[in-house]
Amino acid sequence: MSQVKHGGATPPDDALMYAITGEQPPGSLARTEEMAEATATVSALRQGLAALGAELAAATPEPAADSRPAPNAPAPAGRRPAGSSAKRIWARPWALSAATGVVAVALAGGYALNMSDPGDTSDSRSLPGAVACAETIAVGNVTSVSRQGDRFAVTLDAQRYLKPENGPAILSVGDAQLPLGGSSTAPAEGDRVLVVVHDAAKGNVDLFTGADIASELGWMEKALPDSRSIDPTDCKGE
Amino acid sequence: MRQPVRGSQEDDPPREEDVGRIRAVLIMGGVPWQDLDDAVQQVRLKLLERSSAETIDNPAAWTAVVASRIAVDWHRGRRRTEQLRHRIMALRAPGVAETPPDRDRDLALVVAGELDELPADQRQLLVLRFYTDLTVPQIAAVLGVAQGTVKSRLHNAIAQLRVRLSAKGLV
Repeated sequence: MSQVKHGGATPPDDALMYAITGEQPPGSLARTEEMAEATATVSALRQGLAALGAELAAATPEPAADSRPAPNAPAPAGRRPAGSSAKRIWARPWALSAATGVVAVALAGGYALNMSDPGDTSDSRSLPGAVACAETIAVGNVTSVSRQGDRFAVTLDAQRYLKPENGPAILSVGDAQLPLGGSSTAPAEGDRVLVVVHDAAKGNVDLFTGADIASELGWMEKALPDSRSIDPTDCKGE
Repeated sequence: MRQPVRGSQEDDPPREEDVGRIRAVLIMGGVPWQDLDDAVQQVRLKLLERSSAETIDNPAAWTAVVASRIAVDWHRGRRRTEQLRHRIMALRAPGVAETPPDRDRDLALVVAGELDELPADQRQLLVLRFYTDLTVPQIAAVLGVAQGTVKSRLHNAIAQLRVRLSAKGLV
């Protein structure tokens, strides 16, 4: 395991949290109804996931007619280029037999396992679907930032818009979060950031900093031309 | 996990009996049904790469984390094409599959509905913590985030779940 980061958002210190972590609650809480209810909730969740997992594991995957994407849906094109270093590892539909050979060659060069980005090689695929579904993609320098838990409200001096082609010079976004598993760190005033607003109404906003900016922006730029042929109305529900 | 992990003798790709569990993590994480084979191949591929390059302490946990990551990425890069809850209901059509006892079935359906409502990141945390049984520190380590962040997101998700479970008389 890599080093554990302590801190982050300040989590509640209540019965539910003890049930979630499995840590021993203090004596004053241990035998309370609140603790019993919290433990029951977590137990039910475990039981439900186990049952769900059992059903799914036993099912045979077959293409489902009711789940096929619409002809112009972004899904088929929604694959991220390999080789990017941030959070997302977009799938490549390689056949296993072919992939094994490719990987063997890659490993001969001394590949070391990196849990955050295992197996990315240098092939390139775009993600027009992801870009097509994003409302705003912009890069700029942070002029103000406020933190609310693990999310951020950020205002930036926008220097470049990828999508739409133009936008306000001062861009403000709320509910932005750092990607889990990425290398981004909390932004500070003056930092360069990449903001990707997937769905502002639902608070689905990603914020990339540091090296993640180049890697994320790289595949988005490649995906941009193809994204223009995708109908964004197919993004509803994303 | 950003550093090589060593120590296991288990270098083989996942056994067929483990593939079902991988599929479960992928689907719970948001991978559409029709993409499942592709996603499983992704997990296999990464395990093959690992087996040629490094060894890891806990192959089962590593596999689950890889699967959950792929699910997050798949889900976020694509339009969500189906609801997990609907998929479970379809699987339960007569003669399609054996199913668990009634209460478990009810819980599975409620949990599936909950997962449908959650952002991909929170789905991933719930699956890693309560399906794969990774601890909070382990999850924080493999995802490279603060423990407090993991705890807060889990707490938020489960607090909402508690209300629904209670309303349905399941807790």
